[in-house]
Amino acid sequence: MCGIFGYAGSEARPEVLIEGIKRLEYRGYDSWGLCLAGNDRLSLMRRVGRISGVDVSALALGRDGSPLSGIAHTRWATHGAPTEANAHPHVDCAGRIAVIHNGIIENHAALRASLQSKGHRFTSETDTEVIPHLVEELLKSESDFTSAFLAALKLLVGAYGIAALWAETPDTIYVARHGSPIVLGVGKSSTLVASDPAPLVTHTRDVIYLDDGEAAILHPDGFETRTLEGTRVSKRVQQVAFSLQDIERGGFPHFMLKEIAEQPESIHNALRGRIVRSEGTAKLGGVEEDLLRRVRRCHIVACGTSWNAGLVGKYLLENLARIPTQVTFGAEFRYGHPVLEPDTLVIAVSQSGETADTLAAVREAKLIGAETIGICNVVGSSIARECGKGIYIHAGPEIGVASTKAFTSQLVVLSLLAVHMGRMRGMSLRAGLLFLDALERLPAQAERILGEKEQVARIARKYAQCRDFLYVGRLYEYPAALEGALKLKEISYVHAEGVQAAEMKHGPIALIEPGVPTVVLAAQAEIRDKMLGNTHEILARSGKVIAVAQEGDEELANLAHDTIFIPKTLDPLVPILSVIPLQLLAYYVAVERGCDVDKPRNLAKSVTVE
Amino acid sequence: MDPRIVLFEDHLLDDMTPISLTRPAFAVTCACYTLYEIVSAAGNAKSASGGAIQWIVRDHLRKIAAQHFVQPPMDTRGTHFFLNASVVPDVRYIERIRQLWEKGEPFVATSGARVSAALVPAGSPVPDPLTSENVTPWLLEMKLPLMEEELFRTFDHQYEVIKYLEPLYAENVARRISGGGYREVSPKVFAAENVSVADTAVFRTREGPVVLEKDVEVADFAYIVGPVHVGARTRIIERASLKSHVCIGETCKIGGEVEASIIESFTNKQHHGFLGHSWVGSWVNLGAGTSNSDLKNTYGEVRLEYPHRRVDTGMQFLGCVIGDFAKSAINTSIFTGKIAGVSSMLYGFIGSNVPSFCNYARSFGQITECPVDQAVLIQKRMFARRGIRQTPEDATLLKDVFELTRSERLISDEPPAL
Repeated sequence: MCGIFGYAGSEARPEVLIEGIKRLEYRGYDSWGLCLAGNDRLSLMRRVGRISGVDVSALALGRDGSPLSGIAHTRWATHGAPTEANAHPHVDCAGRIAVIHNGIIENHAALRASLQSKGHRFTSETDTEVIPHLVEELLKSESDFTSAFLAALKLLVGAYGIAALWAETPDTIYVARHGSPIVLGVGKSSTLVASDPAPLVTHTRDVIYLDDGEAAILHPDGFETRTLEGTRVSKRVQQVAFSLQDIERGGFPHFMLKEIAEQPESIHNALRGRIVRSEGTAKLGGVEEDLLRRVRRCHIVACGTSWNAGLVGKYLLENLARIPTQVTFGAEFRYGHPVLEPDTLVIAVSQSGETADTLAAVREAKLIGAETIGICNVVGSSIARECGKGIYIHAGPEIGVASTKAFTSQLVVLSLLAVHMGRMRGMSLRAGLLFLDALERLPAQAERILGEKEQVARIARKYAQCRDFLYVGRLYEYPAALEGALKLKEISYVHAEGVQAAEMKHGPIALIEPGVPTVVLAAQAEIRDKMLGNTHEILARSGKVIAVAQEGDEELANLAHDTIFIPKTLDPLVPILSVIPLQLLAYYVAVERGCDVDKPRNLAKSVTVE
Repeated sequence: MDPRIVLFEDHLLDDMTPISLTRPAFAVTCACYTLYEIVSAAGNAKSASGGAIQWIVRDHLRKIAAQHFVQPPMDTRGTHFFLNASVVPDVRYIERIRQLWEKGEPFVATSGARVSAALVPAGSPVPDPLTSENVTPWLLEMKLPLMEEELFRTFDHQYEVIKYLEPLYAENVARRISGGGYREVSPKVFAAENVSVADTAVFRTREGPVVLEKDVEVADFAYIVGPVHVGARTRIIERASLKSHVCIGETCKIGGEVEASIIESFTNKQHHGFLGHSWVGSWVNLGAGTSNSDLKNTYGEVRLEYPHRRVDTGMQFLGCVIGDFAKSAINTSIFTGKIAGVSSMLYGFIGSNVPSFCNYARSFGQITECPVDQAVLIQKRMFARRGIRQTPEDATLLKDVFELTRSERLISDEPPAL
């Protein structure tokens, strides 16, 4: 997720552009850049880190050159580390076309190779840089810039929200959308573009939301919208009614709820470009095939929510790829004198990529001589750099302290890794295809679960004043139980325990009493009957049961006091769906108890100390 | 309407080496049928243009395959039944193909790591050209409904041609007999026209029939235990012993002891020596006394060696696989589960796999490459003995296979040992 902002009009000064992208910083903040057009030239600036004071003298457009338009970008790295070279805008060989982009171009490698063979020189590792070069190439054959721009868009596969400048038309911004949001702002003497209305509202409240497959050409005195085929379309101007703070949270009261709601998109982004249906497997560009092929054991190191994801990863790797896998807390690994056999792959899982204990574990593993890969959200983070190879989860910035969308994206990436390693080790083509199909259905299924959030809110209000909760599950739902309990603890300060359901009889069942609700996770087909048995045990002791069940499981629903249904999926993918209602449950309990959801006491987003 | 069938080779044929190096995968014999014959029997299968079955093979086989199988111009308009060329030739599939065709519902079916079949609806965009490299990705990317059951099994490794021989034999040979054209010359011995059987030949058919195709000659004292299928113009020489589940191609000369094995056409195994649970390609000559082992001294499961890995076959009895144009010297002894490549020359003890175009006298301390020009010359001489004119395509095939197997010879660098 990145933020883009553009301004066509007499106020196209650097300060205006910087103010614009500062309002989008929550969408990404590892690097930024801007470009001004005027006086028949472009002037570019790119920086690493948070947006800060700018020496605008570097942006001179020459004598008498006042800017006529400008674009700016705040980046959340997906392809290439956060460096100045990788920051947007990107330009063509001649420096006459500048492009900013939010999204992922899936076919960038093929396009880059083709353009390089035609003599184009690339200066970054990004997917975005193919766009200005592609337009430059097409300008040789197309009649005008708009035609070349639209022709280039048709060759892109993936998602994009794009804004482009051309030095020959300095008062014009070329814009397009496919899969990433784009909003136009209509001012009195200016026209604007942004990833969302946040940076627009200080200029105008009249906005137009572009739809997928649409482009727009902006001038200071107006705009025109077209389809990618060039057909003109008319768009309705809408009034922005909500506050700036609301916009940053996407209209949600808390970042946590916004991030829970973003999961259909973040799951989709974790899958994007990684499914190779033609071979019934996954493509994971950041890890060498030879390494994955020779691995005989895996050792996952992580902390907190990422550890829970790692436990799902263990089950996935053992079930799908038949690779013995161990999961260890980062700190335990470092000080536990780990034994790593030859051909052991250490997998470090961390949202921020800065978790101190996990980072130390990676260094320890490397000292022992193990191969390491990282599964991180933040590109270029310490763990990503230390591992040198890995898989990014592409969840976008996670602001809420309680991790939500990063967890489900970690599970998606671990699933891709497991199916890929499984296919290398005799997993049948059919099993691979079924798994991939199920993965592709997840975003829509997550959307359906989110559609039932009011029901979860009602259940949360019913139990919000309970002092203790139990969460029980088996196999893939055991880590989901741990994660559900962790979420509740983190943000509502209610004592909660995740328990392996079969272990209930070895102790935790003594905690059952009318005032202690138990969340029973029973959506896996393979062990559903066992969970039914657990439910009876709890009910026999007058415990309250909140069931998370597969759609259509009326028998369980009739037993439980409250039931949340999730769509049917393969057992290994159940935790990706079943954790969503648990996140919502924790959120609504916290809200009901008046807790500060986004900044829970005693906690930090990224734990960078041991 | 009769099914329109496209037989396609895919990109997963490496483990079928050397069987599939010199022939399309649909032309491998098992239990007296090839897949091409099975598909032809699936009810006058035709191409869209009304011609013969369409097929897609690897580049190096295209011209040579066209010499043996009619290839109508590729026309994939209308609904088509795509069947993997590696599907085992099981006569039960004839009915299965017909049922699926008549049902008319698009599907894709898999077997292990491969696409085994698909019914592709009319109007589907088809890559041009459609090749053995892109056909499977194309079938998968169409997202046709995935069949739950494994409709068609495929040969994924060369030893499976031998593994499927016994399970398929009874029904396959029954189908062949029911096709007609045979006289029952003695109980369960079926002979086509102009078959000659010596009075002293003995047939044992309690476990299965013996089928002798046109112009077969069975010499004195031959002992044949069914089920056995002998191809046209083949001679079973004096005192030969064929002991159940044996498939012999056309124009072969067979002597000695053969058990549960497949011998493709134009091959000579004229003299004494044992061949068991093996597959022998075309234009092979096994010298007198050549024998193979098909059972380990441990009575354990036979394991095959591939480059950089070993595969458990699940078979207690498994002999050898000998590629087309291979030759063995007198008294060659082939150890259990060994593979000899195309145009290989075998001498002495064969204790490890033999690369194609390799003079393999390891027990005498010599392993050298056979020049491809020599292989082409030998091919010409052998063809002439059978009245066949060597075509440029025949020679090109050997040259192409020589290049394709160059890496086999590079990794075969073990020191010679007695």
